This record gives sequence, structure tokens and C-alpha cells, in this order.
Amino acid sequence: MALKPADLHILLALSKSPRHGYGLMQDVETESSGEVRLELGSLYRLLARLLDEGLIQSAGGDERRRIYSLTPLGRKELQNEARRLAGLMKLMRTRKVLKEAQG
Amino acid sequence: MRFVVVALLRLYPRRFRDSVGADLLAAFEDQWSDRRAARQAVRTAANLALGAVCERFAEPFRQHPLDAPKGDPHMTTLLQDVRFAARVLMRNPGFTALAVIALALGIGANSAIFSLLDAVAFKPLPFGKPQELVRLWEALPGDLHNSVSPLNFQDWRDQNHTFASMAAVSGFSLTLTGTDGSAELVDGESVTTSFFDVLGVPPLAGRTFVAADSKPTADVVVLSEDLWRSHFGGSPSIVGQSITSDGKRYTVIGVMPAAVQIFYKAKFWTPFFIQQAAWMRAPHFLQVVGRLKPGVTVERARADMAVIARNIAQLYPKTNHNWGVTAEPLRESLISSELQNTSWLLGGVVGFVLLMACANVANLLLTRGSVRTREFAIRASIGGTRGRILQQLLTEAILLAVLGGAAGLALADLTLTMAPSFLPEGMLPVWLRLSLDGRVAAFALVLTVLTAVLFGLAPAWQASRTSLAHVLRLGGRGVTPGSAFRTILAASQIAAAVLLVTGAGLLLRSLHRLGQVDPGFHADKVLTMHVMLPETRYPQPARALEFYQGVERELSATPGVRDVGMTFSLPTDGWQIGQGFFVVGRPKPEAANEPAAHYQMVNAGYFRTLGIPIVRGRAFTATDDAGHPQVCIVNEELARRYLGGQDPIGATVNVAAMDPEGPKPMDRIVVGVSHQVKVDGLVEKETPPEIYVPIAQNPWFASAIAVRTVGEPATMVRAIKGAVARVDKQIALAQMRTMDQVVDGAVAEPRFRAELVGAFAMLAQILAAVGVFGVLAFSVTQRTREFGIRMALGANSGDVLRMVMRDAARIVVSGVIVGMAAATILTRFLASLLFTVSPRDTATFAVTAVVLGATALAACAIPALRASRVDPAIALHDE
Repeated sequence: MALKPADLHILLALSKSPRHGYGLMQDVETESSGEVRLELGSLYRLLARLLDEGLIQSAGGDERRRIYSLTPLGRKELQNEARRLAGLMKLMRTRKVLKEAQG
Repeated sequence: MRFVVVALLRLYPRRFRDSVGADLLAAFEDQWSDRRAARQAVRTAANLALGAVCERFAEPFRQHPLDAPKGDPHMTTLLQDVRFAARVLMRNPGFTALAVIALALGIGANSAIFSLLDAVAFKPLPFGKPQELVRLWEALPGDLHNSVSPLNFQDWRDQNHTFASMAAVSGFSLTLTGTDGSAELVDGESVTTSFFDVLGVPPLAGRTFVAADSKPTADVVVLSEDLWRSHFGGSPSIVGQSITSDGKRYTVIGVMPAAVQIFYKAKFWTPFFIQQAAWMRAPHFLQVVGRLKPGVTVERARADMAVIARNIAQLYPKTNHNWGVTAEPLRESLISSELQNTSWLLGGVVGFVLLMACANVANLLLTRGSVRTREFAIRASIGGTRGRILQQLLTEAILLAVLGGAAGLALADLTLTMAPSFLPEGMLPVWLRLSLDGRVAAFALVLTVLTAVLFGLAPAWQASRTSLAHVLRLGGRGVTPGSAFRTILAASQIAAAVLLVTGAGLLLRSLHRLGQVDPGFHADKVLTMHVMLPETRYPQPARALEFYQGVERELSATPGVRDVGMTFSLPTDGWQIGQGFFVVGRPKPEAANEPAAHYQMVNAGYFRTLGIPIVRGRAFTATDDAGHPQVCIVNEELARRYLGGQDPIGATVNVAAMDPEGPKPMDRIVVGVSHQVKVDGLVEKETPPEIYVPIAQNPWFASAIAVRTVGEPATMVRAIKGAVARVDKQIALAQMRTMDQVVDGAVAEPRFRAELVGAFAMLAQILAAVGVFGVLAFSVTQRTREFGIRMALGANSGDVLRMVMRDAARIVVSGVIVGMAAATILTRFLASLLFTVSPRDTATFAVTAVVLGATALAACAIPALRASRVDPAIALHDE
């Protein structure tokens, strides 16, 4: 099943290295070239859900901030999604979707 | 700023806070120390608040991995739904209260009326094998329901081949003496010994009668449950003891439940003894019930009885020529068609009221559904399927209905407990007790579920159809689903209200007509009572006359008493004694075709006391006694029908007098003609002829006494009791009523019917007004922007007002038209309950249309005025 865009961005940001919430927020914004802007409330609701689904985990940190990291399941999901997107990309190339769009 | 976030976090479900709450706060502090931008902070706060709402609504639907394994998933979902529904209802206490009250009234009224309808139309009679029970009457051509004479009953019982058993009942009363020496007249029945076996009802205590109990003077008695409880403490040890009445001792042999009071309101039963005297074939005063042999149909019994009746008629042509037998299932004869009609009428009325309550609640839900569009859209967006949302909304509807149903059932229970105090006396047969039994409870349950589906399905369907895209397109404003549906609902409510108000109007008009009937006498300031003289101390009619004359003397001497009247029975209280008669000097009719007149033994003061005019000749005087010529007064109907073409005064009429040895024919000279009075209630199918004879020339062992007082009759009760006690302190005065109450008894049922239907119609009218008001008010709110634009473009407030009122008028007028059409069709079922009013009475229809139209339009005025006062600047600024 396809991941939702915001989920994908969070998992993608975490795949680089574990992060705390505020850093994650900034990363997502820069990595998506400002396209995905997560407000705190939205971010933490996503985080809570991803934690529930076991895609990410809380990996220590200091007493105030928690560090989040990918779980093996989360990493697998990310790879699946990447593979799916790559497949899609290939298909789109063969169909010359981008070219046409540009032309 | 931190405290804002802390506060907002409190809005999230505990799960969420425990999981990421602290970290969120930390991240916020990081962000805040990074960039102290107020704009950003506001955005964050708004986002957090919105998130809280989403989390709250999403929470029940989310499958938590930790929770998931617990319990049956369907059950868990259901519990979640119920919990959530309860929260939603509690958060809107006003809405919830309104809906529950409407439903409780609807379901309560329906349950209460169902218990009546069930007893009247569906439930078997409370007797053993009730389908075998048959009521038997003696039939004359044109009058199929006559009481039965003792000897005819005896022949029926002994000669038939179709009945397993047969019993006869006669009214009877005893004077019970209290511990304080006060006398109380108690009504009972004298029954043939097989009576209780015919009905198949076992005694609560002791035994019932056996054949050996039937003796010329009864010495055993069976008590009714209510008398046993009220007078004898409900102790089983009463069996075997004896009670004394008028110096005679009766041994109590058993106690019977109230269900066997099928003919009279009997508090006790004594065995009836059939006197074997030839004249006992003439008086018709027994009520007869029989139990068919197994497998025998009523038709076969009818044929069997017809043969017997023919045989008796051949043997005794003088008394039995032309007399036949009527046999009807007991159920039909115990439940009058009037009671059935009334029950169905009330059932229909409360049914409509419930439908209207449902429509109102549906409307409320639809309105709220529009407000909640956002919620549904969000749910849909986070994965709530349409079915899931539908299920949730139906759960809410069912919860509402269950609350309404429970309150309604409590209401019904209260109503039924109080019913005996507000139901008119005699409206329900004595044996019929209304109660909240399992059948009523089951009915209420079914009704609750039905109503939930009725008022819940449409709004739920509407709401679940909401798509996220649609809501977003509208910029998050509420959308207006189902405004057409709502309009139809409002119009139907008006139609239903028109129907009910028309029905109520017809009944009230009929009641008014009844009130205008001239009873033929003046009822005000007259106190009435009945006395019954025991044969032990009053063996001869002459002794009874001494008592009456003593009472008349004592009462006349009592201060505050204006006139004292005595008669066998009171006007409007029913036909009591009918005697055959013929005019002497005219061709004598055959015995069987001899006309009968209502026979009254009255004193000289009777006509004065009740204000009955003597239209010709004179009233009786004190000298019209046994020592003077036998005289009588006839009423206008008798004079017109039988003495036409001659001066009635001085004519001679032969009429049978009451006599312990049997009716004694006697010539009487007519001395006066009295004004017609109503004999059998205010509504009489025919005008009965009456013959009045002086009480001194034919005294009898029972009499009604009427006293016209100077002041309020009710204040005279003690003085009158004292006066009678001075003559014989052991004689009880029964049925103390003012004459107004006697007459009132005749209109009690129509009044009850009209008032009850009227009350429900009023409720219906309010519901309809609220319904149309709600629809219009909501549509005005929704269209504020449109009105703003119109006004900005030059429409004035009058135009807007007209526009809204035009919408309102469309709803109201279509509702009124449909209601009128329905009323034209349905009011015909009222015909049998109306007195001199046509079921399509134009005046009633017209008034109803005007009143309801005006009420509904008035309800629309408020939203219309609000629309006309829309300020374009504000309305458009909202966007």
C-alpha cells in the first residue's frame, strides 16, 4: 500500500539519521523544498500514529527531547515505497510522461 | 505561550498525550526560542486545536495494536459507538432533552393507548377458553337485546343441546353495617350457581357455588377481591365466617377475582333462586352467559336456541309470542363498538403524534447533521467508511430512541396507574383493567426501534453521503444536505396536524351540540340518591310507603331543602321498568304487540323538584293515594302516539302495576301530561313513552330521592343523611350525586374523547409549528449570504421578507391542502362518535385550515423578519 506523502517524508528524513521532533520538522520542510510544511500538531499526530503502527521508535535522547528512529519494519516499508515509486518512475519514463509534459 | 500549548494538549486523548505529549511541548519550545513570531504561534495553536478535534473523533475508530486483541471486534466497535454517541448527546443537552421529551411523549402515549387497544381488540378475555363463551338475549323483532325472564332461562338451560353450561345473573345489593353502625349499600349480583364454572375462573380463596347452595333464601355469599381487601383485610380466614346484612346472615364461602365482574360492578355474589311461579316468565331482568360444548359454533347454538324459543312461544303464547333468542360471542357483547371505535380513534391519533415527534427529531438531526458536516468529512478523510459513519449515526439515533422509549414507558406506566381516576366512569367494562404488561412493554420496544429507524435513517444517510471534496469546496462552511427532504417533512407535519385538529374540532363541536340538548328538566341544585329497602324489615309495599312518607316529611322539614322528589329512576339514568299498556276504549292490541312505556312511581313533589313542566292537566297531589281513584300522568310522546285525536285528560289507560305477586294490570285515569324528559341519556335513538303513577298508589322497595336545595347541594349531604336516619338509621343512601353529575355521566365519554383528542391535536399543532419554524430558521441562516448579496444589489428588506414568507407559505399551504384532503377521507371513521355533526362539517374544516395556517405562518414570521434585517456589510464580510 502506498504511504501517504507526509509519512513518506518523515520516514525519509529519519532514514538519514535519528532525529528529534523539531529537527524532523525542519528537515521535512527543506527536503520537500518547502512543499510539505508540517505544523507541530500535525507532525506529532503523524508521529503518534507511526509509533502505533510500529514504523518508527523512540530511541532515547535527553530528558526533554526524544529521538525518533526507523524500526526495521519502517525501513522495510520505506524500501517498498521506494521500489514502488521507482517502478512507477520507470513506467512513466517509458511512456514519456515527463517529456510530453515538458513539450 | 507554553501554557497555551499545555492547555491545548489537554484536549487530546490521554493515549496521545502519554505517547508524545511531553516531546511535542519540548519541540514547541525549540521552535519558539528559534523564532518568536506571533503569527507562527497562532498557526501552531490553531493547528493543535484542530488536531485535537480530529484525534477525539478519530480515537474511537482507530485500531490500536495494543487494544486490538481484546474482545470481539464487533462488540468493541459497538461499545465504542455507544460511548461516543453518549458523549455526543451529553455535549448537546438542549438538543438531547428536546428530542427525548418529544419521543417520550410519543412513545408513552402510544404505549398507554396500546394497552387499551390491546385489551379491547386483541387480548383474549381473562376467562378459561374464552372463545367458547356466548352471551344470550331474548329477542323481539326490532329489539334483539332484551334481558331474559327466569323461566325462559330455565327452559333454555334444560332443553339445549349445544351448551355445556349456562348461567344467569341479576343485579342485587346488600346493606353492610360498619363497626360504627353506619349503613352502606353494596352492589352485587345474584347468580345461578353455575356462573363461575361457566366463566372458568377459579376462586382466590374458598370455593364457588354448588347446586345445593340455591335456596329460596340465600344463606351463602362469595366476596369479590376488592370488597375482601377493603372491608375484610384480605385475610383468607374470612372463608367460613358470616356477615350480617339487614338482619340476615350469610356465610362467606369464597373470594373471586375482579375479572368476573362482567355485567355489573359486583362486590359480592349470592346464589339466584328461580321461583317456580307462572308469572316468572314475564319479567325480563336476567343477563345470560353460556359456554358452548367443545367444537360447537355460535351458528349451531343459534339454530338450537331458535328451536327452543319456538317451542316455548307455542306453549306460552301470552308471554312468548314472537320472542326469539340472540346469541353473540361474549367478547362482542362485553366490548361495545363505541369503546372499540374510541380505542382505534385514540390509537390513530397518538400514532400521528408519534410520527410528528419523529419528524421533528429527524429535522433536528438533519439540522445538526449540516453543522457536523465537517466532522463527517474529517472522519471520511482519516479512513471512516460510509457504512461506519452511518452506523455511528444510527447508534446515536437508537440511543436517543432508547432514552425516549424508557421515559415513555415510565410515562405510560404512570398514565395507566392513574387511568381509573380520570377515565369516565363506565367507559371501560369493569373486568377490564389496564396495566403495563409484557405485551405493552414489547410494543414499546418495537416502537422504539421503529422510531429510531424512522427519524435516524434519513439524517444518517444524508450525513454519510458528505464527501470531503464537497466540504472543502465550500471552504469548510456547513453544507445544506436534504433541504428538500426537510421541507417535505415540515409540510407533512402540518398535514398531520390539520388532520388531528379537524378530528378534535369535530368531536368538540359534537360535544357542544350534546351540551345544547334540552334534557327536559332543570338539573341545578338537585341532590340525588338511591335507597333499597331490605325485604326482612320491609316485607310489604305498604311498609315501604311508610318509609318514603317519613323521609319526605323529615326532608321537607330540613332547613335548606326546597322540594323533595321521589321516583323509581332518575332521568337520563336509563330505562328501568318497562310495563305493557293499552288505552281503554280503543282496539286492544295482541298481547305480543302491546306497547311498553317507561313506568315511574313518583311522589307529588317530583315534577316540581326536577322542574319538569306539566303541559296539560295537573301534577299529583298528596290525596292521590290508595284511598282515591287510580290515576296517572303520561308524557308528551305517549299522548301524541297513543292518545291522538282525543283529550288525553280523562282518558283511561290500562297499565300493569308492580306487585310482589307479579305485574297487576290496572285501569288509571290520565290527569296530566308531562313534558318529555330524556330517559336513556342525552342521546336517545327514539323518544320513549312514559307513564307516571303516584308512589302512594304503587310503592315499591327501591326508590331514587331527589332533593332541590336552596344553596349548594353538596353542603346538604350531612343534613339529608341525618333526616333519612331519623326515619330508619339502618338504611344506606347509595350513589349520592347532584343531578348535574347524573347528566354529566351521559356526556362524560364524549367529553373525555373530545378533550383527549383535543389535547393531542394541540400538541400536534405545536410540533408542526416548531417543525416549520426550524426548517425556515435554518434555511434563513444558510442563506444569510444570499440575502446580503440581494440587499447589496438593491433589494429592500420588504423584498426579502416577502421572499422568505413565500417559501413559508408554500410549505404551509401544501401541508394544509394535503391535511384537508386526508381529513376528508379519514374523518368518516369518526361518524359513529359524532352527534348531529357531519364528518365533513364545513365550518370545522374552514376554522381548522385558518387556525393552522395562521399558527404555522406566525411561526415563520420570526425567521422571515430575521432574514429581512440582514446587514449586507456583515453578511458579506463573513466570507
